[in-house]
Amino acid sequence: MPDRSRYVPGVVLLSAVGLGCALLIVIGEILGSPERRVYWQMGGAALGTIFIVYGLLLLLLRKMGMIGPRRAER
Amino acid sequence: MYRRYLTALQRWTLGLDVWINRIYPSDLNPLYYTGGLTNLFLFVLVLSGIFIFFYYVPSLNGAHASVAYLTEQVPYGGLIRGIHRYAADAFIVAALLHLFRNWFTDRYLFARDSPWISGMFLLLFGGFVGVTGYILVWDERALVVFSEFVRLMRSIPLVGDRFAWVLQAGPGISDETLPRMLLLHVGPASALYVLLWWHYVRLRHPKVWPPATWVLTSLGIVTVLAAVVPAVSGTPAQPGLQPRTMWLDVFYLLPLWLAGYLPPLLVVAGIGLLFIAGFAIPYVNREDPQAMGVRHAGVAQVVDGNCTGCELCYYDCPYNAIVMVPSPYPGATRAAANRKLLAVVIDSRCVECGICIGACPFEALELPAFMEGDLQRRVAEAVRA
Repeated sequence: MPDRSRYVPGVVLLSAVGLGCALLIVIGEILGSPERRVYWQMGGAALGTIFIVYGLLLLLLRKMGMIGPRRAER
Repeated sequence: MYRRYLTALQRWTLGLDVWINRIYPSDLNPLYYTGGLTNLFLFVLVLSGIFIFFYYVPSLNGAHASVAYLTEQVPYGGLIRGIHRYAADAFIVAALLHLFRNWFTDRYLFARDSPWISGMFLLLFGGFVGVTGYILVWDERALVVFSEFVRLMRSIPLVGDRFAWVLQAGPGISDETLPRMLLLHVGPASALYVLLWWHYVRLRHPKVWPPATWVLTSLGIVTVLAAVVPAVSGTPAQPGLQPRTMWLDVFYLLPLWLAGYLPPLLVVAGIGLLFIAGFAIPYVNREDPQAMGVRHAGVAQVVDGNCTGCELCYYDCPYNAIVMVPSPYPGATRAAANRKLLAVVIDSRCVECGICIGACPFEALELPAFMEGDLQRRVAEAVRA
C-alpha cells in the first residue's frame, strides 16, 4: 500500500501557493485601480495559478484516497 | 504495410497510457479525456467569444480600434481576449490528440465511422473558424492572412473567384468584408455544436467533460498564458501597404506559410487531399467481418412479451441503438405485467454485437441467428450426438 503521507507536504505547499495568490488578488483589489485596468496581468496570472493549484490539489487528494471512488470501486 | 505501421502506433499509444497511469490514477489519465478537453476548450471559446462579441465593431475603421478598446480599456478585457486566443490553440491541439489517439487505437471502424466523420468536420470547421478569427483583429497580420486566404481561394479552378467574392463580400476589400468575416466566424462556430450532436449521437456513454482536476488545470494554464503572454494586436491594417515580417501561428496558419513557398493551387490541393484522406480512413483497409470470423447475427429483436422496461439494455448498448418508449400494453410475463416502458431497437444503429442480450435478465432480447430456443436445441443435439 502506498504511503499516503508522502503527498501531505505537496498539499500543504499547494495550499500555501493558492492562499498566496488569493491574497495577492485581494491586496491588488484594495491597492489597484478601481477600473481594474492596471496590474490585470498579475491578477490574471494569480487567478490562473489558483486554478492550476486547485487542479493539482484535487489530483493529490485523489492519490491520497481522500476523494474519488472508494477502493472497492477503483 | 499500413496495418503494420498502425499496429506499431497502437502499441506505442497504449504504452504511453501505461506510463501515464503510473503517475496519475487511471481514471484521471488526461489521454482518456482528449475529446472532453476539446469540448471544454470549445465551451471556453464560446463564453469568451460572447464577451468579445459585445465590444467588436465589424468595420474597416472600427475593428482594430474596438479590439484595442477591449484589450486596454475594458476591465479584464485583455485577459478574456487572451483566454479566447489560447483556448483556440488548445482546442486544435486537443482535437488533434483526440484524432490521432482514436486512429491509432482503431476506434473509427464500422459503427464508429459516424463519430469519425463528424470529428473530421469538427476539425475542418474549427480550423476555418480559427483563421477567420485572426482576420477579425484587422491588424497587419490579419491583412496578410486575409490576402493569402483570398489568393489560395482564387487559385481553385472554375469556382475560386466566386469563393473569393463570398469571402470578401464583393470584388475586393470593402466595408462589407469584416461583417462577412464575422458571419463566417460566428456561423461555423455555432455549427460546431450541431456537429457535436452528430459526434455523440451514436455513443451511449461519451466522456464529454474531463474530470475536475483537468478542467481546473486546463483553465489555469490558459489563464496564466493569457496573463503572462497577452494577446496583442499589431499596427492597424492598411490595405495597399506592404506589411512587415511577422510571426504566424502554426496551428491555424501553416497553409498560409506554405503558400509563401509553394504554388497556391498545390497548397489548396494538399489540404483538400489531407482532409479527403482523413474522411476515407474508416473505409481504407477495412477488414471483412466474416473474414475476421465474425458471424452475421442479425439485428437484435425485442421479445415483446418478456420486456419489463427495466432499461438495462438501454444503458448497456454502447451504440445508442436502443430507445425506451412508453409501453402501449402490458407484457405477457409476470415480471413484465406492470411495465411502463418498452425497449425498441433502432435497426440502423444496431451492430449485432449481442451486448444487450447479456444485459437483459428477462430473456427479452434475441439475435435472429442465435435464438435461444435454437441454441438450446443445437446444444441438446450436440450432446446427444
